[in-house]
Amino acid sequence: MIEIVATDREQQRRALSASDGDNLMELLRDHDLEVEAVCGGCCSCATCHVLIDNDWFDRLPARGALETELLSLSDHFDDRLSRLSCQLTASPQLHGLQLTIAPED
Amino acid sequence: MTATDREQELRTLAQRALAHFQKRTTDQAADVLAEPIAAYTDETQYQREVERIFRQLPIALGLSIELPGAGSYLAMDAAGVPLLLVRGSDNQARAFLNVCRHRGSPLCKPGSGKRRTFSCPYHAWTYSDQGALLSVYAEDLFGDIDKDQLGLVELPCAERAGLLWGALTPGVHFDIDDWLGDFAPELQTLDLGSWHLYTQRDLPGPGWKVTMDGYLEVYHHNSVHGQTVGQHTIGNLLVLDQYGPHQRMTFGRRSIGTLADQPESQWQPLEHIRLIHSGFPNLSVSGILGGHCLVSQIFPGPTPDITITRQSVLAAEPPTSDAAIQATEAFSAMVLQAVQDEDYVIGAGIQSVIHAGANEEFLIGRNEPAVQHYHRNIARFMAGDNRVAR
Repeated sequence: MIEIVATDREQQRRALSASDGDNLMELLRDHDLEVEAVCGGCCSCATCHVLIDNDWFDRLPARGALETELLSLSDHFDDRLSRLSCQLTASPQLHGLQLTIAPED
Repeated sequence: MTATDREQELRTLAQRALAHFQKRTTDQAADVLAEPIAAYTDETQYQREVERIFRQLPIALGLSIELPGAGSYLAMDAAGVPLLLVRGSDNQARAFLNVCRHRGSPLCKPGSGKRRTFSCPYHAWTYSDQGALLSVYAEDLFGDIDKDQLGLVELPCAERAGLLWGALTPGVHFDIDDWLGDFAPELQTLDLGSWHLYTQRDLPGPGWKVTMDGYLEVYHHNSVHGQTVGQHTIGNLLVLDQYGPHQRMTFGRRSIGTLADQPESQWQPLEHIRLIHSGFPNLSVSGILGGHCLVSQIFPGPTPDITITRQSVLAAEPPTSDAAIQATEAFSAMVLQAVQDEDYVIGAGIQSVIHAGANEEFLIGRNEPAVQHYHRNIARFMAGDNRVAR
């Protein structure tokens, strides 16, 4: 089991159990965290925005150009923290990853 | 217009209303107008008129306060056109056709909200809050397209006097300042951009002209509105001013006669008159004493016998105290009753017998000059007259 620690918009921390290969947007959505994910995970709509805990950001696969472009439209974009959760996949290396659901735009 | 000029103008309106009250008169048109019944019933004429009057001329699409910040949007059907209004991150309000450029799915469901990107529910093509096509899902597999040419189709749109104006045909001539003329500063006195939007509702109603006629005369107030707004206004007393196709109606309140006993310098005109601003062809703004305001937008339905009225109830301040909430709720309930249960019940009655053959014409009296003006402007624009005409 891979543990992902998510902080929701009410600042509640929740530990979520994931399997290797799980899509993080789907994981958050399945646990009723507030990711809208209008496009269903196509890296298209930018409504599954999360802020990655500092220590973890650089350990993720690099952010794509389109992902960056979409994220930069958000009022809460942080170049050093922002990711689209649909572009992230759970893996043993990410056990203990901490993230926060970005505030609503 | 300075505050002093406005005070003087309101005093003049009160004088005109008081004079009518004392003489039992009203502003009048030169003659009775006989409007052929086909103007209300003929399907072909109706479709031509809706196309010209509602889709090619500027109309009021909404209130500025309906788009309170960057990314706020409003999706609705307007005269058969799928409309998406969005305030972009540059703070500019824009109007688009609410249709994806891929294979034509509506982008947003009817309603309002706030978002920075707009993703199509069909294949997730995503547009910015300024209408640009941002991303195409699996673009590498889709094939070559020029995304710069595939932004949402934009409609002419401008904000004036706290209202969102637009035209429902892409690329059609649109000069909002010319269209509004002197009506713009007049509307500006209402300061609609600073009100609080208390509630909104869409009311199904009778046909376009049956509905609009009722918004443009006070002849029916005693007979129809005895339980509601008629208690506050004098039936059949109208002071009318015209601004091209647009009009300002001044009604007398029941207290108007008391002004005769006061020196003019002490008059508080707005306690004794009521103003209705009518923007051709679909807007009515009714400011009521006590910090409440009713904005009505009338949209023609698919056939000559149906309209949808978008009714917006505004409060000068967001009501917070129990008393303020109660007063706003009472106002909202009163205007709903007056329109839905009084005006539109009469209108539904008219629609139910309009094909009975009783009338070859509807008669619009000399005491209904604003209704006459509205019908004459329809005729003028249908005849190809493009001037706004002052």
